[in-house]
Amino acid sequence: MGTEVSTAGQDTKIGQSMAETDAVLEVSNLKKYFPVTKGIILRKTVGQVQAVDDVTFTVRRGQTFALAGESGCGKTTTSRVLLRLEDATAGEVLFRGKDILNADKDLVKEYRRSVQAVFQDPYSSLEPRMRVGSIISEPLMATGALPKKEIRVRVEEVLAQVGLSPDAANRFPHEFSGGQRQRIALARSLASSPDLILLDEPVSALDVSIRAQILNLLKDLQDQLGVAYLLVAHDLATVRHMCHSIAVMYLGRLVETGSGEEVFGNPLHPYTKALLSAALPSHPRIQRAEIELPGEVPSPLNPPKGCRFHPRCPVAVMPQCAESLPELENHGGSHAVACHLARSA
Amino acid sequence: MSEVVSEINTLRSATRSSGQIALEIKDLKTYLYTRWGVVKAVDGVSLSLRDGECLGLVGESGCGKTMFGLSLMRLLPRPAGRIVGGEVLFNGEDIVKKSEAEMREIRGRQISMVLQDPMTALDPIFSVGRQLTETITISSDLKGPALLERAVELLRMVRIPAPAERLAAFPFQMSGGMRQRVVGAIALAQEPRILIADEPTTSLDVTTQANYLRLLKSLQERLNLTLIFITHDFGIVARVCHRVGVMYAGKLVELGDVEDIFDNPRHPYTKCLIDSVPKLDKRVTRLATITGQPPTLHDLPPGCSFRPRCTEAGTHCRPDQYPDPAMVGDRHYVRCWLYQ
Repeated sequence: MGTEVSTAGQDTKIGQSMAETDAVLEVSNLKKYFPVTKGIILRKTVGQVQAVDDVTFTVRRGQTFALAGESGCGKTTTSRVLLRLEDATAGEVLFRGKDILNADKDLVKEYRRSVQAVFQDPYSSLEPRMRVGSIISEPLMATGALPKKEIRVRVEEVLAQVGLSPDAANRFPHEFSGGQRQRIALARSLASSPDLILLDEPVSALDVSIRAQILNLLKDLQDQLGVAYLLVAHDLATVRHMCHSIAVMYLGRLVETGSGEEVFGNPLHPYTKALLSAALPSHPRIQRAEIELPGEVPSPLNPPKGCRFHPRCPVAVMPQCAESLPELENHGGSHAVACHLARSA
Repeated sequence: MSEVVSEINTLRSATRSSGQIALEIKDLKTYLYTRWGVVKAVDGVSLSLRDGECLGLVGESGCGKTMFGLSLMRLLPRPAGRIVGGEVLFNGEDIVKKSEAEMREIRGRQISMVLQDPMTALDPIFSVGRQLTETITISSDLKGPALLERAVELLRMVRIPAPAERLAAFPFQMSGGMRQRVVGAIALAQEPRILIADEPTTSLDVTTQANYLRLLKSLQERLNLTLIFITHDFGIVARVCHRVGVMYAGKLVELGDVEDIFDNPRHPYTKCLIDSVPKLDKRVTRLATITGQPPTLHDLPPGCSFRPRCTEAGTHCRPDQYPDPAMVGDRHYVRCWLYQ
C-alpha cells in the first residue's frame, strides 16, 4: 500500500528519536502573548493579552490528545502556534525531537507535510472555486511529497479512506453536504500521510447523526494509519469518547492534565469539576449536583492575580489562591493539577 | 441526591397532570413554495400543550422544527411560506385564521420566541435598555422612571449582574451568554404564556449553556410558562423537558413523556439519535450512526420517509403509505410500521 511505503520513507528522513520515544509532538512552556497597542503613528504597546501561557504537553504516536476548555481559553491559539500560523513568544516545540519554532526552511516544509489540520466549519475551510480533487492534492503539490503522476492515485486513495467515491474528485464543494465536506477536509489532511492532525472542533458544526459518522471515521483512520490527533474541543463527552489523554485549559493556562481515565474518573481541579457538572445528562433521571460558576471568564488582557480561576472558584479560597500562581503538580501517574487546594488536600 | 430526584419527579408529574390546555395544534401543515418545488416543512403535526409544560422538539437540521415554531408565531418567510392546513387553537381561537393586526396582539404578549443566534437577534446600534423598553411600551403605559424600573427588573430576572448600569450598554459590549439573557428578557417582557425557544444555547459555551438552561427552567416554573424547546440535542431535552417530540422530514414520528422516550425509544430514528451522541457516563467504543443524509424535503420518498436510512426497515413497511400514529404507552405514540 502506498501509505505504508511513504510512512516508512519518513522514518528514515526525519529524526532517529522515533526509536527512543513515541512522542510525536512535545510542547514545553509555550507562550503566546499578543501586544495591545495604542495610537496610530506613534504606536505604543500598552499591554499584552496572554493568550497562551506556559503550556506543556506531549502528543504520542497513534493517540489522541485533547485540549478542552471554553471559548477564549487559548486552545485555538495554541493550535495556531503549533501550525506555525503564529509565532510563539517563548517556549519550545519539538516534533519528533526536532525544534520546530527555530527550524530552517527544509525542516518547516517537512513539518508542514507531517502536520495537517481539519477546521471546524467545512463551509468556509474548502475553497468553493476549486474541484475536490485539486483541494485534496494541493498540499501534495505544495510540499512536493509525491511525483505528479502519482497524485491522482493518491487522491482516489484518500477519498476511499474517508468513504467517498472516486468521482467526488471532479465535483465542487457546494455539491456536498456538511458531513461530506468534513470528509473532504479530512481527506485533504490525510493526503500527505501526516503523523499528526490537528482537529479544531471537527464535529461541532455538524448535525448530530453526522457527528457520530465522523467520530467513528476518525477513530477508524487512527487505528488503520496510526496517526496522532490533537483534538481541540469544548464538548467534554466528545473529548471523552475520542481522547487518550487530555489537558483542560482556562485563561491560557493548563489547569489539569492526565489520561482520559484519570481526569474524567477523578477530576481534581475545581474548574474541571465545574465543566463536568455542566455537561448535559444522558438520561432525564440523572441529576448531577451542578456547580454554578459565578460571573464570566475574565479578560486575558488583565488576568486576575494569583490563580487565574480564583475569582470564580466555588471552593473555599485559601489566601495563597489570590497571591501565587499554582504550577502543575503531579498527582500520581500522568495526572497533574495546578491548584493550591488539590495540593493541600 | 435521591431527594432532589424525587422532588424533580413529583414536580414533573404535577405539572404534567394539572394545568389547562394552553395550545392545541391539529394537523398543522406548513409548506414552502420554492423554485425547486413544494417543501413540506411541517406536514401534519398534531399535539397539545398544557400550561407550565415543557415540550422538547428534536430533529436534525432541515426536519422542519424551526418552521414549526415560526408557524405558531405566523412569522414564516414570505412569500414562500404558507400554512396550508390544520388549526392552532389558542384560547379557543384558531391562530391560523387571525389577521396580521390580530397576530400583532398575540406575538410577544401571548406567544413569544427566542431565536438561535443572540448576535443577530439584537440591534447593534441601540442600547440594550432602549430595545427592552421599546418592547415593554407596546403593551403597557409605563413611562419615565417606572419604565426603567421595569426594564431593570426584567434584566434582574434573567440574572444580569448590575442591571441598572447595563441598560446603557450596547450588545457588542456583552458576551454571548449575556446577550442571550437580554434576548430572553425581551421575549418575556410582555409576560407571554407560551415561549418558543429555538436552539437558544447552540452558540454558547458549556458552562454558560448550563447557567442559561438553569435560568430558563426556573423562570418557566415560576411564571408557569409553556415552553417549546427546539433543539437537536437529547442532552438538553433530558435536562429541561417534560415531553419530547421527535421530528423527521416534517412529521412528528414519536411523541411521549421524556423518561418514557429515554427508557423505551420505539422509533428506529429516535433510538439512533439517542445512541449516536457520545456520553460522559456511558463509554462505548463505537457510536451508533444513521447512514445516509437527511432527505431533502421537496423530494421525499413515498411511504415512510425514514425508510431509506432505517436499519429495521423490511417487508412490514408499506411502500405507498405513511404509518399512522400508534399508541405504545401512556401518552406515548410512534409513527412506524413496526407498531401498526
